[in-house]
Amino acid sequence: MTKVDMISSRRRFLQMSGAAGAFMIACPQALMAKGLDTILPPMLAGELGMFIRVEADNTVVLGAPIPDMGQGVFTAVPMIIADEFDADWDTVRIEKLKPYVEKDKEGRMAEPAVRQSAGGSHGVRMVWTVMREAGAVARLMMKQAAAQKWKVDVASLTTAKSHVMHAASGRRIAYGDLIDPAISLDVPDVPPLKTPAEFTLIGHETGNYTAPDIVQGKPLYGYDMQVEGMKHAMIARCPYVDGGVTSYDASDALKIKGVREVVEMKRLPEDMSRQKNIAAGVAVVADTFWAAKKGRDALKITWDKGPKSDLSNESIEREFDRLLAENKTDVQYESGNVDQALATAAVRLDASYDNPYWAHMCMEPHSCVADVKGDKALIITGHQGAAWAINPVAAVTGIDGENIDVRLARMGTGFGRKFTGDFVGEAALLSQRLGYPVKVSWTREDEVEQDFFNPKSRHRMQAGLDENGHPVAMHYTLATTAGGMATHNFPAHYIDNYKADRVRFKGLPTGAWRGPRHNVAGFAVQSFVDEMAHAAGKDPLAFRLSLLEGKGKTAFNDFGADSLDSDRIIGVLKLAAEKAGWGRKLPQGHGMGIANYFTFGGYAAFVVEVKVDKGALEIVRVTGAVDCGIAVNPLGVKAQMEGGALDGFSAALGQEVMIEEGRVVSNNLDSYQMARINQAPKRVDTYIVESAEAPTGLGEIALPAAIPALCNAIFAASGKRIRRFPIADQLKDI
Amino acid sequence: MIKFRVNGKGHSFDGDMDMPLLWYLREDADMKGTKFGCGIGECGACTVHMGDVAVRSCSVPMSALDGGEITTIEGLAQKSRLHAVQQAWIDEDVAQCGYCQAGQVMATAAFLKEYPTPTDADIDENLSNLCRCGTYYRMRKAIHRAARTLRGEA
Repeated sequence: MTKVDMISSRRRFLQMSGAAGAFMIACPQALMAKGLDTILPPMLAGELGMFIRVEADNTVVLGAPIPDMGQGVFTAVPMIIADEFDADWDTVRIEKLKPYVEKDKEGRMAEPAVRQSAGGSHGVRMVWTVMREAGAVARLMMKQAAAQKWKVDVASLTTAKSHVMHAASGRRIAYGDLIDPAISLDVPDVPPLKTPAEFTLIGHETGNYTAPDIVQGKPLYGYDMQVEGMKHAMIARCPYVDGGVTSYDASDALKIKGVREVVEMKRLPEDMSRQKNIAAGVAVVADTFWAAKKGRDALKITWDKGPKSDLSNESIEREFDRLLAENKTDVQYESGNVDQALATAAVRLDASYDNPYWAHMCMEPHSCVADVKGDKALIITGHQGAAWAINPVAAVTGIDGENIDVRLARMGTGFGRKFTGDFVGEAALLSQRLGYPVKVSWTREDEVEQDFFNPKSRHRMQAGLDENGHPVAMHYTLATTAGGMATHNFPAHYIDNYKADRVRFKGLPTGAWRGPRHNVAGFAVQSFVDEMAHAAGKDPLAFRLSLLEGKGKTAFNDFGADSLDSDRIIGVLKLAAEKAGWGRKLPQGHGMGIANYFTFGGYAAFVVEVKVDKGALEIVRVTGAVDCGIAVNPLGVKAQMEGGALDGFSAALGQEVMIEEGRVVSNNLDSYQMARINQAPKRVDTYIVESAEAPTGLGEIALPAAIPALCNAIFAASGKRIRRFPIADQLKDI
Repeated sequence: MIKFRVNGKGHSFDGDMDMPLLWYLREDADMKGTKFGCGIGECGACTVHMGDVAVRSCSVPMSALDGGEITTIEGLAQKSRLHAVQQAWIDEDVAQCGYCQAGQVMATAAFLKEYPTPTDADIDENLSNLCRCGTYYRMRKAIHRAARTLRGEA
């Protein structure tokens, strides 16, 4: 199957690069069909090519295709290749794979065969097969090379820890000593992949590969990046939604030592009906970060407050009231006859849940280094996807996407925010205009004020139960400041009459925030299911199981999966309940809550135990169960369950974006409350359902289930139903 | 002109005395281990030691530094041997994104000097660095593990 020109290209590379004996493989069939010509140039430039490189000292270098923002893919994805390749994990070196992007039909840069962006909890899931094939082909080639050398049958050879073994003769040879024979082989077809029983790394708890660098403070992150001769830019951006710059006086800023330039930034796109990409503002460019910051602080700017200067949380809620009263909703999903079923139900429930805007508050504020020279650009930044960084740069600079070289640094969290083009576009524009490399650094205040927030919403829920407490109808009406939300997942399809509809009102800019579409829908739906259970006089676990049992697979019309498997929901519910001791007698003031949720292909359930005492809430114990298919790195799976749950608790407990006169005023951690270690549960146990299914992602799976489990626990402990975030002081009178 | 030491090495500075120590470390000294998170002393990503005390370097102006003895994350390990807190962080697999962790490690190292046998309540009262990934559960285990190591129990 191998094309001769590909092989010759590979050989030519090895000669030209002078990489004395290195075996590389870029094997996935889909990529090979494209020919190696597009992959080789980066290799020639001394970058790690695709996926695997064996060096003469038997070091196996693995390319990690997905950028890491804490979700663990810099460890988990290389584990997949290493397992199939039988690389010795103890001597493996992992490097960030150079982005491999190319133009799509519309002329925009895109990821071709291999997923290289971080979002939708799709990292591990999307590269699972490709990584395994790469490892399996490379391993077969090592065996073929050894077979040739020893003049034995390939089938008589085995591999382990970066060595090939011949049991009959007791011979053993390092991969690094097979480079020369291996590079002259034709690339074979993909051999049968390992069975789960043959995995040596997959399924084994493996520590974060980057941990030693992290705890020593190595410069890994976008904010740490620099290039020779670069200047620093700080931008005063218009804090008003859709506002602009009326006038500014830069005279004081220009007096500050080290300040070089003051540049006005236009709002882009200029069409105000489209969501902002780059904010209107004024940039100060200086020799150092601190001079740029001082210069920015010295600017005198008169802002045009734009058309939304009366926007506040209260005004948005009044809009929700008005729109819901108008009752002109867009129906998203309907089965049966909800109105009739509600009218004739024995018991009716009607409850509204409100969630505020949440900010991303990425631990690392955004930054980008850009070096634009003529028709080429170099971009160095912490970003969730190379193509998503290139396209905005191409759009604002006019440079061909193919001439934009993006290097992705590690991210100090992303949560969906580091998918946007604003911080990269700003740096590229400034470097293009000024003719030298520029680093744009955001402060915390910038990061919050210019966020694309998780949408503030109201979720009106109505349900009807029959005389046996069985739900016969449910109606979920969403009033939101964004597009849609997961309003018709479970228990839609499990209740005969179900309707989901919505009204929308545009407030602050919104965007993807960990578990977009699901994060607060999970809270509303799973809290309401709990309310239904209590109204029915049933145990909340038993109530859920009664809806699910015997239902098999049902339709799922949302991103991440094409069906929902009731048995897998039951599996996580029962596992979490059993491990938490669901139903056991609890001390006075304690309560347990349960919730389940399905996000982007992964099933999670949580049981949370809380104590509510004189208004003080303590999260005593958290028990999570997850079904993510094969758990590639169980230690990483648990990390995401623990962190996802805590992130959800932090958001629910204290977070609320405050808006005054159309600008965000809770713009730092003094006014935006995030959980510290004293609010974190002291016991968090995670259990993973044994599975032979292909793996799904984990980054966003825990949070939508964990939040309602907490709220349901608060109800069980105190009788207080949380229908509004933040929980903050809602328990003070209990 | 002020003089101070960073990780045992002499430094001098005669620039803007309002500049926070954080930016001296990151830019003038090109030591990127100390991180910028909030700039107002709330998150602790920029934690370093002044003498034995953990401080948030985004809120320490250069003017406060004369004669000071600063230790940063780059200076915590003894040659090739990691500090017990760093090792505990690896052993408990604490870090997710890792951005706050240098500050967490520095805060914990100073805390354990004062509280060699910390209770959970001591931890809750004295450690307040933000971890946006929510690694607090493993962090607490790592703090106790490091304390045991430093006490010579492990």
